[in-house]
Parts: sequence; structure tokens; C-alpha cells
Amino acid sequence: MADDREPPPLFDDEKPDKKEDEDDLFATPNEAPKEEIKDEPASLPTEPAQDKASEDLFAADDDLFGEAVKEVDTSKLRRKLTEDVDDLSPPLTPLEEPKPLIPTPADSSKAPPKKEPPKEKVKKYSQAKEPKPLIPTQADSSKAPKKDASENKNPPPKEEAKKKEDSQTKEAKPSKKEPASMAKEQPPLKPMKVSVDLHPPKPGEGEEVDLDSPETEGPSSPAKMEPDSDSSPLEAPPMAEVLPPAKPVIEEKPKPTPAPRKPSMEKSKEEIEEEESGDQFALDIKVHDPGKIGDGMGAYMSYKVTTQTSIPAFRRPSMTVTRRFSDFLGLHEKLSQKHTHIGRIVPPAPEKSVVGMTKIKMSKEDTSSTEFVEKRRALLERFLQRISLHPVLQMDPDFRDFLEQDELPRATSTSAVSGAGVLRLIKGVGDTFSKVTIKMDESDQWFEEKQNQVEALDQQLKKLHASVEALVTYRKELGISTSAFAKSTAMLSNSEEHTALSRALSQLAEVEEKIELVHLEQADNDFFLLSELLKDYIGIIQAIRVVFHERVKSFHNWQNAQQNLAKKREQEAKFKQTGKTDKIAQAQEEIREWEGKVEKGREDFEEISKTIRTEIRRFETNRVKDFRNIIIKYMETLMNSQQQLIKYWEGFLPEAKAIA
Amino acid sequence: MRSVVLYRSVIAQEGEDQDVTSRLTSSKMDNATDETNTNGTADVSDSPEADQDTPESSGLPEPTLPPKPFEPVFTVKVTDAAKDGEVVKYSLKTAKIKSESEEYKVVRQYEDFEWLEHCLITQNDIGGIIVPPLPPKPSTTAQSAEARSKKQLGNKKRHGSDDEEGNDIKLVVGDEFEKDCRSLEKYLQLVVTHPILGQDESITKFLTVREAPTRAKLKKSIFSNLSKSLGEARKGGHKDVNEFFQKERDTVNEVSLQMKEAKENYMKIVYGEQRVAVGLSHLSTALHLGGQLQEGADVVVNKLFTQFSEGLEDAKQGLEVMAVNDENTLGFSLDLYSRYLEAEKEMLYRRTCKMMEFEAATKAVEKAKPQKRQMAEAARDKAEKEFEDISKAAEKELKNFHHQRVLTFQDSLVRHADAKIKAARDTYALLTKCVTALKTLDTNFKPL
Repeated sequence: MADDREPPPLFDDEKPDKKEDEDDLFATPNEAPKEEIKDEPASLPTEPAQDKASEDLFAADDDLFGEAVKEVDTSKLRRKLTEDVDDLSPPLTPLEEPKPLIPTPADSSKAPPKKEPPKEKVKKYSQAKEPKPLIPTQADSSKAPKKDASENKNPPPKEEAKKKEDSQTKEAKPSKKEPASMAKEQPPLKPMKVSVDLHPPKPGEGEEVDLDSPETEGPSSPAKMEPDSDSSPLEAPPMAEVLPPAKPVIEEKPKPTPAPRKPSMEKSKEEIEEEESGDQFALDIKVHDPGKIGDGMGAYMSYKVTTQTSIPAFRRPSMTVTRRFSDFLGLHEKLSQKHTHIGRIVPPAPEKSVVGMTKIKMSKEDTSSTEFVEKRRALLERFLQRISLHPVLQMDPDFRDFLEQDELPRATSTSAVSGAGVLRLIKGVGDTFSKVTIKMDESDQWFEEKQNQVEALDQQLKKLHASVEALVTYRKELGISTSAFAKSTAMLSNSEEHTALSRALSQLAEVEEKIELVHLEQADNDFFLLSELLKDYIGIIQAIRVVFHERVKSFHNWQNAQQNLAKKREQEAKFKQTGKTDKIAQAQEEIREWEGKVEKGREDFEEISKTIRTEIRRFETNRVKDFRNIIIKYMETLMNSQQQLIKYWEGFLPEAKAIA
Repeated sequence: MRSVVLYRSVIAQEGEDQDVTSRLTSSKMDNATDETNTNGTADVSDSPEADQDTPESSGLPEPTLPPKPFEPVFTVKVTDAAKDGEVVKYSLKTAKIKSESEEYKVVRQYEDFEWLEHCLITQNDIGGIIVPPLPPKPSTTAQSAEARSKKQLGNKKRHGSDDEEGNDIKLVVGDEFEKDCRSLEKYLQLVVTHPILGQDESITKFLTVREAPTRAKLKKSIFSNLSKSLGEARKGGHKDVNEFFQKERDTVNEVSLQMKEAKENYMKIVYGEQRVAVGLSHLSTALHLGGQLQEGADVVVNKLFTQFSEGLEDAKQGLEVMAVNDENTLGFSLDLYSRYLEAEKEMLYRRTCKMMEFEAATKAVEKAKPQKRQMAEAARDKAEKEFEDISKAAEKELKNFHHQRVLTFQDSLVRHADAKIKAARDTYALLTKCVTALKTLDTNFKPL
């Protein structure tokens, strides 16, 4: 125990650090953490100003048609700006570098209080919710007391470490401070929590590891991990959610992977778990070089899939294979067969498009088909990347085969069934199950809330998607108009006799042509960033529904078993009453059988409920990350568009001035 | 420094406008002076009829005096427009340039402008003058506004935005009095700064007399327009004796069409920008609508969405500003000149008619019997004089017209580009701010 106690703090020390880096990685892929810190204070001064600014905007809006239409409006916008960010006042500056990021001492002193409130809220929340977890009694927690002890000893060093870090980085404060405070405040809750989290490793990890590898690391490492994850399951979502699923990974590993690789795997168990807990970019997948293979109606598109990985389970760190669309569908099919029924959310399969494919088959090299191919390529890439980000699916042998194997057995079942058909089937299931759910007496408030939430989210996303689609159309129209005006201008320029004016007009035509491209590019960004993201999430929500449905099915199995058990018991009682002793034995046998089934049903149901919780948590973490990244990326494309406009018009200005 | 130039207030802007026009006028008159000096003819001698029709006009320079550059007497501003029942009334503010203290404020409605135009046309010899075009009557009824909105925003009902459509039309189009004011103001400025029309009595009265002139109902029959355009089509192909005019006539026909097309396409851009702005605004609203979920990840996502929606609002605002500026700078000039070129065409047509009259008279002289020869010759001489007068006036007018046209386009192109740059910069700065806020947004949350 004493030995064991040493490492954990150390581990803790590293862990949050790592996690943070990773968070940053996700958050701002292209930015050094340094900048992040610099950015922080900037939000503070702007916050209050923003309100004022929006008022001004409204005012400007009113004026738009009210009184002063000339160029006042820009001056209004301008005013808003100067009020908000004084640094920006020379309009040139924002172009080169976003200035307002220099932190002032006042700002940094303000920063901590600003971050505090949410933390407290979170804390309260966790207290309120903590006692609830579904699985009520895992009384078999022979390990629990031990855990408890080790945990209670853990906090102090951890706290110190945390504090030290706090003083260094302001970021992610809530997540860091909490463990300490929680450890203090929540000892009564701990046993419950521990038992919940300990349960899985026992059958899964512990045994398997012992069997497969004689290494000593095996058993002790979960012990090491567990306290950590236990003491901070709530404030450190990636950890909490990743740990339990790690167990099946190890279950599966021995089966497909040949012997030589195993020891290394086991040795680096901690590594893997770390990887899984955050370093999800260990798998970098690119789908590229779409190419048409064959002719006529038998033609199909093939894609190159290049993977780079640091996951040791792969034979090589980098590989490229050629896959066709139906292979992707096949992969999805295999994964969902294996994982959906135990509650895992498998990223939705890419949709098959008859129209688009027919065009390709007709070998039409027009823009719409290249657009289609690019759309699909991006879709497939996202599909694979989503799988690769999932700690369990990432390690699935079928997925690995898909990335590694040169030749893949043709997925006959899926090529026969069209993707759209499969999708429709799933959709049908999703739609009908919601009715079933209502029948199910939802004993778990968490699930009830989640289901409502997911439905609301679905509605919201669909609405947003429609809005974005409209926006894309509008933008394309604007592009077309711009191009038409460019042509008119060119003609005007031709018949203009005044040389300088003629030249300026032809320059204008060129500028407008470039601006047309800006609009079209922005329309692409609208589409590929926003629209596709929303569509992906609508698909994922569908997958979530399916998983919810699986849980309901599991519940029904359990209930059925219970009913049958009750019947059998009645029967037995009847036999006893009627004195049919000869049948009692058989009845008791049956009762035992059904008792087993009930127990199994209950376990299955609990298992799937737990998995879904983890999955949903993962989904939400990813949702926040995805939306944050995409929104930022999208906003940056908007900025880029503006920058291009500035560039083009600044290039044109001297021409205009030189007219006379 | 730049900001001073770029971000001037309305007044400054209008002052600048005035500056531009007066500059245009003075340079134009420099040309005119050169012309008249070489030709030895005075300004007004081109319009003897004007003398007769408006003998009371006091500002008329003596024909014998050496011509001096024309100084417009007034500066005009259309300051405001208000709807009074069915009628839109425009407030005009006029100041005498020489004595700034003298200010007149009058209220006019569109029919008064029509009457003014009528007086200007009938009371002056407009043969060689390109009469500034009166902007078309602004639509004031609800239906026409709706029709216009539909044209701008697209008639197609878009999926998912049907219900809000109505509101947004109001939001985007609104009342366009401001635009009408600007068009009418420009019209008055063109008239006031015109060397001949600017001295007309009716414009002075129009600007200074409080009571609106009695409005005779003008009958602009469709037929007269029709017959005129028919005539234009018939006589348009008539070969010109003068190469300069022949070329001018050829180009103006071509350019006026192109100008109209350019204007229409340009307005499509403006509408397109407005439409994208509407799209952005829809999206931004939709982002807000989701804000009722208050748990777990939703809190964070909602925070993101709120910030994002603010960013989209900024982008939308930027686009709207661009659309308005587009319309007010280049769009305004394109619109003005698509009409002004028509006026030029009409002037050339009037000259062509005179030319044909002269040719006919020449032929008549050849065919005339001896006893009628003298009369025919007199008629021919008269026609020739008229034709020469009109040609001379027209040539001068055309030079000024084109000079002014180039200056106007320069001005509007410069302002257009300036406004674009500025709006894009401002939008960029706002977006930068938004992205910074997004990046620093605390995305930690407690999963449920």
C-alpha cells in the first residue's frame, strides 16, 4: 500500500497537466497555449461593452432607413468599435494582428473571480446528483474499503500539486480545484461511487489481464488508476468516461492480435489508458484521392485511406489502403452489429446517393459531380475520424482491419442493401421506439431527461440546418449576381471612351470577379463547416436514439424474465399446494434457470445503462469540442472573407482615384 | 486622418457632395468659357426663346457682356420626407450661395417636382440641353412596397423561414423616403447647377416661395411617349452629317443599354447582400431559439451559440452596411446615369429632328419653283440656323456632360471602394473580437 501511495500523486500531477494540453489541443488546434492565456483577459473588457455595442447596433439598424442612410451606417459600426476596443481605432490594425489581447494587470486580477462562480455551481450540482447513480448496490465491493483508504490519503498531495499548478496557469481552474474540495466534502458519497466504477474492472480487466499477461503491472495499474478517476470522475469527464470502456478493449485484444504484440500492449497498459483518456489524435486518418474505377453502371469510386498512428496495436505507424464506398458501409455494419446492442453510439454511416453516383457512372465531369465527390470524401473522412476518436471503436479489430488490410473481404451484405435502405431501416426503428419508450416505466430520471434533451437537440439542429442551407443558397445567388455585374462592367468598360474611366471599369470587373469567388468560397465554408457539422450531429442523434432503444429492449428482456420467474414461482407454489411433489423439483430447476436469466437481464440492463451514460457523456464532451472548433473555424473563414474584400478593394482604390 | 475622410457625418457628407457638384460646375464652366470664347457667342444666345419666355428672370446676364463662369445661385438640400396621408411631403432647405444668411425652407411633393420639370422644359429652349432626369415617382402605397420587397428578397419561400418572412421584409426594406430624398436632391442640384436651367425663374420660385405653385394636372399620355420612341426608332438610323454626333449617337445607344443592365445587375448584388444578411439573421435567431436547454453540455453549447450568434449578427450588420453603401455610392450613380443617358439620347434625338428638318428644307429649295424659291430659301436658312444653334449647344452640353459623368463616376467609385474597405475592416474587427471571445469562452462543464 505504501508503495502504491507514492505513485498516485505523481500520477495526478502529470495527469491533469496532460489532459489540459489535450484540451487545448482540441480547443485551438493551431494555437500555442501561450496565446490562449493571452487571449483570456481580453474577453473581460469586451463583455460589458458588447451589450452597449449591440444597443448601438440596434440604433444603427433603426437609422438604416430612418434618417441618415448615406455612409453614416458605417460610422455607426465604427463607433461601436471604438467604444468596444480602443486599440482598434486605426482601422488598419485589425487586419494585421488582433491587438486587444494584451493583458493588463487589472484584467488578470479579474480573471479568477470570473471563473469561480461556475465552479461552485458545478460543485453543488455534483453533490445533488451524485447519490443517484442507477446501480444501487454493488455490495461485493471487497476492494471498496481499501480504495477508500487509499483515496483519503490521496487528496492532500494532490491538492498541493493542484495549487501549485493553479498559480501557474489560470486555465481550467474549475476542473483542478474541484477534486480537492470534493475529496473533502464528499467522503460519504465515495463508497457508492467507487463501487460503481470498480465493478467493471473486476470481471473485465483484472481477470483478463491476469490470464493473458503474467506481468505485475496489470493488477496494480487499475488500482492506481481507479482512485484517480474515482476522486475526480465528475470534474474530469474524459477520464471518467474513458476508463470503463477501456475494459472491453482488453477483452478484445487477445482475440485478433497475434501473440508477439501482446506483451507490449500489456506493458504499456497505462500508456494506452492515457492515450485513450485524451490522446485521441494518436490516430490520424485522411481520406483522399477519390478515383473512378471501371466504366458504365459498374463503375464505382475508390478512395485512399491513409492512417498515421502511434497506437501499438497497428502493425505500422503509417499505412495507406484503397477502399470503396461500400467498404465504409460494411465497416459501419460490422461495428453497429457489435456495439450498438451494448449501448455504444456508432457514428452514423455515410448516406448513399443514387443521383450523385449515377452522374459519376455516366462519367460526367461537370462541377456538380466533382462537388459531390468532394462532399462524399469529406463525409467519409469525418466518419472514420469519429470512429477513431472513440476509445473503444478505435480499437475494434474490424476497424483496424479496415485501415490496415490491403484486401478487404467484399462486404456483400451491404453492397446488396443500399446504404439509404439501411438508413431508412434504422430511422424506422428510431421512430417507432420512441412510442415503446413511453410504455417503459422509466425508473431512471437521468434517462428521461436525456431523452427529452436529445429530442430537443434534434429539433434545434434541424432548424439550424435549414437556416444554414438557406444561407448557402443566398450566398451562391450573391455570387451569381456578382459575376453578372462583373460582365456588365466589363462591357461598359469596352464602350467607355474616357481611357482612365475605361481602365477603372475593367479593373472593377476584375475585382468583382474575384469577389464572386470570395462569395462562392464562403458558401462552401457555410456548407462544409456548418451544414455538414449539423447534419453529422443529426445523424449521431439518430444513432443515440437507436442506442436508447436498445436499452428499452434490454429492459423488456429483463422484465419478461421476471414475469416468467414469477409465473414459475406461482407454479411451484401450486405444485406445493396440490402436493404434486414430483413436479416440484422440475419447477425449482426452472426457477433457478429463470432466476439466472433475471439476474442476467438485470446485469445486461445495468450494463447497457452504464455504457450509455458513458457514451452520452462522451458525446456531450465531443459536441462541445466539435461545435467550439467548428464555430471558431467558421468565424475565421468569415474574417478571411472580409480580409480578401479589403485586399481587393484596396487594390482597386488607386485605380478609381486615378480616373481624373 | 483617414478616418476624417472616411467617416464624416451626414452633414459633412452632404457638404462634400455639394463641393463635388460645385467643383464639377466650375470646371464645366471653365470649359464652357473656352468654348464661348472661341465661338464668340454668349451662353444665353443659344436660347433666345428662353429670353422671351422668362423675361422677368433677373439673374440673366447681358448677352453683350463677356460670359463669366456660371455660378449656381442656390444650394439645395432635401432634408426630410414625411408621409401626410397618401402624399409624401419633402422638406427642402435652400440657401443662397452668395449670402449664406438667406435660407428658404419649403415643403414640396412629387407632383410639384413634375410641374417644375414641365415648366423647365416648356419655358426654355431645351433643344441642345440634356435635361436632368426627374427620378421616377416613388411608390408609396403598401402594395407597391410589398411588391418591391418581394423583388428584392426573392419571392421564393425558403424552407424553414416561411413564418418569419413577413417580418424580415419590413426589416430590410422599410421606407425608402431617404433614397427618394437623395434622388430628388440630386435632381435639384443638377438643375440648379445647370448654366441655363439654373437661371430659370421657375426653379427659383420652386425653391424659395413658400406656397407651392398651382399644380396643373399634367397629362403625360402614353401615346406621346410611344410615338416619340417610335420616331426615335425611325429617325435613329438617319445618317448624321457630323461625325462627332454620329459617333455620340452610336455610343449613347449602346452605353445606355449597358448602363441599364449594369444598374440592374448591380442592384441584384445589393439585394443579394441583403438576402444573405437575412439568412445570417435567421441563423442567428435560430441559434438563440435553442437556448432553453439549461443542463450539462447544453449550457456550454448555448454559451457558444450565443457568442456565435453575436458574431453572425456582426457579419450581418456588416453586409447590410455594405448593401446600403453600395446603393448609395455606385448604385446611385449607375441609377442616375441610366436615366441621364436617356436624357442625352432625347437631346440627340431633338437635334436629329432639326437636322432632318434642315435637310428637308434644303431639298425643298432644290425642288422649289422659282417664285417660291425665296421663301424656301428663307425656310432653309432658318432651319440651318436652328440646326447649327442646336448642334453648337449640344456639343458644348455633351462635353460638359461627359466631363461631369467621368467625375461623378470617379467620385462614386472611390467612395464605393472606400466604403467597402471600411465596412469590411469594421466587420473584420468585430469578428476578431468575437473569435477572441469564443476562444476564451470557458467550455468546461459538468456532464450530467
